Amino acid sequence: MRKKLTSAGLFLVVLSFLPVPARAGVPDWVRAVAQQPARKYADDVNAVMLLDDQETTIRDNGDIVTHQRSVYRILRPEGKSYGRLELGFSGDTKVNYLRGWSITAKGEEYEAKEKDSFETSLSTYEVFSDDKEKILLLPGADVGTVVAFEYEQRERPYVFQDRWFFQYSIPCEKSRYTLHLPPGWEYRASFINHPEVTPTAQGETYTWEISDSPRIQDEYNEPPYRALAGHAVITFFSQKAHDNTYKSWADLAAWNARLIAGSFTASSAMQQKVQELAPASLPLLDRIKALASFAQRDIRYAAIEVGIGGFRPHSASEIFAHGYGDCKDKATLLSTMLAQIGVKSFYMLIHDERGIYTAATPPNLGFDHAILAIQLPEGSFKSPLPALYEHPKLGHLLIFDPTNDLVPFGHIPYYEQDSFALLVTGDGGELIHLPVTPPAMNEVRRTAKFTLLPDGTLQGDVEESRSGYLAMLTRSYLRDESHSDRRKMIEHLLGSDLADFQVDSFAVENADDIDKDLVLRYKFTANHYAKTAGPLLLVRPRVVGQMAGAFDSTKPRHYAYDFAAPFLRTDSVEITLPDGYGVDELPDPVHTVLPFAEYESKSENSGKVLKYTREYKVETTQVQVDKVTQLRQIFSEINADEKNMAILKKVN
Amino acid sequence: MHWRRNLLLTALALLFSCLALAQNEDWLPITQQEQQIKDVPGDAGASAIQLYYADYIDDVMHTEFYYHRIKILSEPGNKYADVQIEIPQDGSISQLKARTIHPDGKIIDFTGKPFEKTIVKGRGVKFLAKTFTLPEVTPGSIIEYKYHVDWPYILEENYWTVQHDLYTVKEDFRIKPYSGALDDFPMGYHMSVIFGNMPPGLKPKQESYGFQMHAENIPAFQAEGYMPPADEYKPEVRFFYMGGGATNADKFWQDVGRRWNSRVEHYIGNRDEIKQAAAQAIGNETDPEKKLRALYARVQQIRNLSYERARSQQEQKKENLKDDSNAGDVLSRGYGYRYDITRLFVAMARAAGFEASVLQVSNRKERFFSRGLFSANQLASEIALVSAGGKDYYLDPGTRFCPFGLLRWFYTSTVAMKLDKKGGTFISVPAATQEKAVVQRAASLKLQPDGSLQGEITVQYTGEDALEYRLDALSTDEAGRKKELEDELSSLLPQGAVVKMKTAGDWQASETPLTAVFSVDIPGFASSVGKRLLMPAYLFQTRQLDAFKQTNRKYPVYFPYAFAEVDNLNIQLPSGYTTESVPSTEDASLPYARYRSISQLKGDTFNMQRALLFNGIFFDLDKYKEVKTFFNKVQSADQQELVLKGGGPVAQKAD
Repeated sequence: MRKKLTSAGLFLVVLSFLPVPARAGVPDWVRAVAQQPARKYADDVNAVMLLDDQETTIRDNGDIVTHQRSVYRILRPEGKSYGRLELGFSGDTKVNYLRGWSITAKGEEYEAKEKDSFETSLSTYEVFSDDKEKILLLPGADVGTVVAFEYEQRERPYVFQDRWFFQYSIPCEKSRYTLHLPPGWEYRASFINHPEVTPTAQGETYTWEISDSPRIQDEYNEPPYRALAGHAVITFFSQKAHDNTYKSWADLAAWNARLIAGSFTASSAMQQKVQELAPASLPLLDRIKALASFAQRDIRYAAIEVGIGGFRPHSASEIFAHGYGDCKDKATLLSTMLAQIGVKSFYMLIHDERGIYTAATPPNLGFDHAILAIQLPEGSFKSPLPALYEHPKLGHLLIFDPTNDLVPFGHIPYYEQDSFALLVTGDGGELIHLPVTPPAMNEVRRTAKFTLLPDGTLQGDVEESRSGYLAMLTRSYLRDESHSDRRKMIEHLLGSDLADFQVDSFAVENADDIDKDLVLRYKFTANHYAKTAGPLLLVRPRVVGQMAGAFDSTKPRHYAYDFAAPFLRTDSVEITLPDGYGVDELPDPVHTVLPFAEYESKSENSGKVLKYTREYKVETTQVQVDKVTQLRQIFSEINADEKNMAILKKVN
Repeated sequence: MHWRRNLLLTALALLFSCLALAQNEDWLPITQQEQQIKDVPGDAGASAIQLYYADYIDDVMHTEFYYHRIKILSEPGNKYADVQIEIPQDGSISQLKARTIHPDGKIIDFTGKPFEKTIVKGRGVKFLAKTFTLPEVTPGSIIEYKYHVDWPYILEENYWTVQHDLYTVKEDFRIKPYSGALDDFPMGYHMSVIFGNMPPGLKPKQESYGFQMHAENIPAFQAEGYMPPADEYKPEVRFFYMGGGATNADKFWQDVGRRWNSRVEHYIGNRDEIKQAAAQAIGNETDPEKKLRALYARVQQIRNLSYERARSQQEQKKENLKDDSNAGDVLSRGYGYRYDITRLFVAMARAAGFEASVLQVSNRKERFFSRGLFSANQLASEIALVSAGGKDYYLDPGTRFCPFGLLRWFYTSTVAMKLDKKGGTFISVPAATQEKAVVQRAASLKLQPDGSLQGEITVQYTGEDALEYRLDALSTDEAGRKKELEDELSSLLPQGAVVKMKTAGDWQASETPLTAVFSVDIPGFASSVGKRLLMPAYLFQTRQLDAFKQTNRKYPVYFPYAFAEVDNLNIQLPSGYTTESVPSTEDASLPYARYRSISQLKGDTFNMQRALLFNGIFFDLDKYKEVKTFFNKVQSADQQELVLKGGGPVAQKAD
């Protein structure tokens, strides 16, 4: 190995230390914005966007040219990052020019141009993608400095749509969107998380303006940013580009259907594999399950996305031959294999964050994931399946995500439940609302039996059985860990409830069998668990496990509180008391019932055994902001209950 | 640094090199043993194992050959089929070949073209990577790939990576040094090797062509929390070219020390303006330490550019910032980097008649100093050593906010070179003992009948803690400082505590402690059980417990610095209750640690006094149990409860 071999860390070093040449040449529009009187903001606002001016021009040849001007004032040291622009581009999106300026609080001016920028590939989850970004760093980015960027990009779009975001993690004083259309083109502007705004029109030029958009703040378990931030989707139509325009979800689905139509190609090797995995002798549901399992577990996830490859899957035969693919590849392969046994399936586009698409969302192509809806023939299944969607025309559609290899057949990943997805049928499609599992299907059932020794030592066994998304999440934590690392995870987990303890044994059952509940069994000894207080022995009957969610009580809540999915957690603990001790007093039982959640616990004295049982059930995926006070109350009840002690006293 | 080569000699050497190393680059046969491997020795459940790794460096050919053979054991191991190879700045990748071998022996060659990924490109800098993914990979597959990294020049330093992220069954290493003339060594040169942290019996062997090494069964490196710098535990083998003179560590460091001394002495000089400034700062003071303190305070007034944002050349020009070339510049311009300020301090101390030296000091945050490692960067920082009144003072004037007598923690308990004309002397920088990092907390609180606790907590940070908080505060503002201290206190209090900072002391000071006052509201602090109210006797979480959650460790426990916590808590109890049980006095001690907590009732007020003194930073595995037991006792004592019995109003349920 050579000393000078590069590394990703070097990238940061290069960006941090190379000085940016600068020559002042601040344009008047920047100067005018900078001279506006500074407004007062909360003391934790890092920066303010003074101007966000986007100008979109549709050219008759189908090119979209976007001209952007952005001006920020840095208000805090944490806002210095606004002196850095990261501008994405790709093979289909070119940067025509890029510049930036800064005016410091002392009035010093700097300029940086495109040649001062750096380029880097943007691949994150992909093995390779042609997405890149240019990074431009401005000198003088200190508190009080006004920084401005101007750039122009030219894009040949796959579909004619644009997005105008006017709400960010910092306040935005003025946001403007100007649209220039060539003759014969029309537009439609749809606003999301914001009331409709009427543009001013001058010929074929339309301008929207929104002032004083408040920032989107970070809160525990808040909905995703795109579900909160005000933005608009602008779609453009022309007969000249009718193949790449849409007015409805059906149009958009049809566009997608045309795009992927050529990918469902079966090779003879694939056909042979289908026969091998799903022989006709098996019941149909088992055949479907076998093929689904193949796509889910035997096709390795690896994404290679170049150009339209971000939207269009590789051909099924190629995916099968390579043994790898991304989400849309896996869905395509499975669909092709299912077709071999006469089962029809439909491609679905979805976003992996719930709430970005709702029933009210206007048609737009902002999905980031592809799954499959499998049409189950009547009588092919018996018990109700949680992933079943009853379509008025297409009948029983089993929603299946072959990308997530920890979710069993018949279930939907939690982040897709209660979400809206675009069902792509041959002649169009529609946005459908995916089902959500009931609490009992996402359960942690903990049973524990302990013996308390007179010196306060607690010894015993715990069994935790997990189902649904709670099993999936635990499997995802455990899967990359060796046995010794899994043990460390358990030790770390217990360390938040116990002081001086040792794990005596530890086992995981059904770690790889996703059709069964995941079971964790462990045995531990906790020294000094019960506290001596004069003649009393104080014992916390809960022993392990914390159920309340994270909540910041120091700030007012602005947004709804999201849960991954409805769930049920139960604890059943038995502590055999030491000889000579009996229960003197027990904590009061707790029972709180809310429209969306319920918590109940009680401690009981059964002679030599102290019993503690509790159940916490959440029946929703989201608690609206006006009900968050109730949620906080139940968290508070749980926290208090978890601290409660039983008081033991010597009986002789 | 890289070197030009003598072309004629290179051509001759190339010929020999081809003969020496080229024959070992074919795909190796898959052995039956490799096919049968299903688990990683000592690490059951690991997702992959590296069956073979080779690294052949040929400085004559300016090329390095790599070979990786990996077996996928379970699905998570499939990720090793996605390969990214970084291409060095001036280098290139050639002869890249890759393939998958199925469990049934079927071989699938990678026939695609690797993608070229941009790590960073622009303004004369270009770092790229080749990336590809192997076909038909499933658990049980063996994947392998090999390639050359080619260079247009020779690098002064090479190394072999002996330990990897995966357990490695077999490894082969070779290096063939350059043999032609090198401009930097007109008197001749040789390749030197150093190695450390090696498994027993493993070391590079000298051969006729250079060095080689064969290793087997090297476990994966798995870092642990609270361990010393990880590089201290990874095997390392380094090679570098040395001139004919520098043949051993003593000679190397002597040469380096002489160069440093010459540079530093030239910088410090013997200037009148320094003498005048020193005299002015000292005034009429006669006590040696007070004189030193006056000089220290003077240089700490210099604007310290090391703690400001990096500036572009244009910014420097506009702000009229120039490089200081001597101590006089630092004084007259009023700014400098940490080493400028340290040298100015030494210059002023000498001008005032003290014996003062610059120490080139190592930084134990990243790595412990190794004399055998011929890298001058190990001693890259500078502090000062002054003798005054028969006492040695280790001082760090170049660290902003560093009080007199304190060193930043990573310069303590380490090695430094005291510069002199002969090349310097290695000395040990003393440890910072517990009194150099004290956190004092005083609480005045009132317990409500509903179990909630409200009142005020005052936290005073002295020494290392105050210094680190003040340095961190440079990257934020008043709101950020407030949030950081509130978050820190909240993290030590029970869940649900609402903490608001009321005041905080002088963030710009060096010599005074940093004091912050908070109002706190802790709902449900005490819990009611029947007629009793149970209240935890202690308020805060034990900060160090994370280090001791594991039953067993692989590596020593390492704390950055020794510390002390001193708490005095007063909690006014609600009326209508009598005390049934007061926590007992608890005591625990080790030769290097002491804990004591005393609980008592003073009228209607519960008082707890607690002290935790910990005077160590490094605890080897044989000490782990002892230290863990100590902290378990601390935690157990901290978790005692005060039991109150209701006689008046019935205690209500906690909110």
